[in-house]
Amino acid sequence: MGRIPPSLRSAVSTSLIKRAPDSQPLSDQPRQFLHKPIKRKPAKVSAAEQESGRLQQKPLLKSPDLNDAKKLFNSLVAAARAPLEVRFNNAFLQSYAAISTPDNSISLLHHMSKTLPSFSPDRSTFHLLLPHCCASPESSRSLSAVRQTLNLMVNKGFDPNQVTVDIAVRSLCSAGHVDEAVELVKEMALKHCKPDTYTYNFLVKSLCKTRVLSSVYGFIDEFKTSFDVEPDLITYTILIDNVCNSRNLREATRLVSVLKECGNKPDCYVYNTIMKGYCMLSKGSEAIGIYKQMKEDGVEPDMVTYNTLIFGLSKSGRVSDARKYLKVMVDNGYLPDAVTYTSLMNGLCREGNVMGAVELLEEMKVKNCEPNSCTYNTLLHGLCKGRMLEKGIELYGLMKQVGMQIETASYATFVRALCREGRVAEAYEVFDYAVESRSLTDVAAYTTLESTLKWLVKARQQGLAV
Amino acid sequence: MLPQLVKKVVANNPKKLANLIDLVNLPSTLRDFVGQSQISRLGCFTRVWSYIKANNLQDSNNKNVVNCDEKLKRILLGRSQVELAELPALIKLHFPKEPK
Repeated sequence: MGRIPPSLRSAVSTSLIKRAPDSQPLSDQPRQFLHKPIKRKPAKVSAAEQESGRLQQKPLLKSPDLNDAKKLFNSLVAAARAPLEVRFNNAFLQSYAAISTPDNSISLLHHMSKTLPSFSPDRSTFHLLLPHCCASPESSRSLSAVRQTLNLMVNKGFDPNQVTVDIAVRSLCSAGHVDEAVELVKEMALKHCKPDTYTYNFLVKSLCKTRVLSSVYGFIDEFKTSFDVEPDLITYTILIDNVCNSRNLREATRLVSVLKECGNKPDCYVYNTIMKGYCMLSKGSEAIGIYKQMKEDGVEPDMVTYNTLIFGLSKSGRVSDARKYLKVMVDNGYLPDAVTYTSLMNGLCREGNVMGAVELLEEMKVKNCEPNSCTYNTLLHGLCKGRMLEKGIELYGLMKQVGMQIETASYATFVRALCREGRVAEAYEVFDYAVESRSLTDVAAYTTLESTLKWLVKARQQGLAV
Repeated sequence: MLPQLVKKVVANNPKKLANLIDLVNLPSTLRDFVGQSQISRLGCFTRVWSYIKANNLQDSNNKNVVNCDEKLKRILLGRSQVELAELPALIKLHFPKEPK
């Protein structure tokens, strides 16, 4: 490993290096949980990079101009006492790519190869050029920069593999070029390799977010027939989640039967997703139905299942049922957390049992369960609606002390409750806090205040308020 | 029925939002108070409220009432006392009405 002199260690700022791409195949990665993207493990950072990270120097590559970069590289090569290692070259290229155009980056790559014969770009070099080519705005019109990089790879003897496809797809989709990502994947599937399940599912997810359901189905069908790539359990879960969010539970149920027909057994995630769909629509009985179905199918409910169920039942006004499941949850070895308690509190407040909600707060503290921002906001909202303003003010004081954010709904209810009692100055003070703590934008906070005061003035004229 | 009816009236209505945050050329009275030739209605409110707090103009017996000093009187219709509840409406008077 070549040692880089101290003056050069600061040359490449690690702050510009976002992540070193992983050049290992993904086959041994654990199955991803739906809602978390795969976190690429960064390749081991060389001692040189760690040094420069520690020193935290200003970036050396400030100018996107190609000639400047070339000159800088030449000077670095000349000044180095020992041959620069691959990682350094990659880092240099990456820093430049981050601030310049893809074409310039490719030119710099050529220049570096020519100047430094020992620098032979490997797969990781191309992999770090790729995201920048994908993210550039030109990609929306044509994938020329991306194709250029890919061709280069082939020329140097590195055929694009599944990692390449994955990097390209993720960068394109995060830049919003989902159609281009689909196009690229199809091309790559014909020429080089089919996308792996991670890429495929990521693409399905991006399509769900940006296109209508029918085009997502079209994509899946196309890939099944043309490229023999089948949707798996995760794909179905993504689809079911998307469909539930659009409140189309019938389609969700249909998808589950399709899933079963294809020989996939629905797992905990799938059931949780559907249950969530029913809960969002306040369909408590259906949610319980899913729970029962899970048990019948031998799928063990987890923490998320119980929290979802309790949330849904509380929301539908079935607090006693929710409490029953709280007991079931504990019996099965799951400890209720802040989410569980907050859901119950929400239910109690909705039924008008605000004191019960306050008691629950005490119970939380006894059980060493830390209430979170949502808990306090739910309680504040409930207290104000339940005409327990003094207790609400007390709670607000607590929230202020810890600098807790106030949510739109509880802010509005609180301001209204204060104004109703004629405590306008205090309402102004809450407005100040909401803006200061950046809980709300000043537009939102002011608009609520203004409309509440407008209502108050009218109510006073009609003799309805203090 | 939607479970939550959050009133995002202004946020969803571009005309109302513009009315609140667009900069407006001011009549001379407001210009003197604010010290700028342009300000938005929201900015003006914030400025006036800060002024009230900074100069302790809230009545000590009733914080809901503001005792206006000379500068404030000039922009609040010459009133020597105003209620905090009226403040937004009074400031709105200086600004052009929303086009229907």
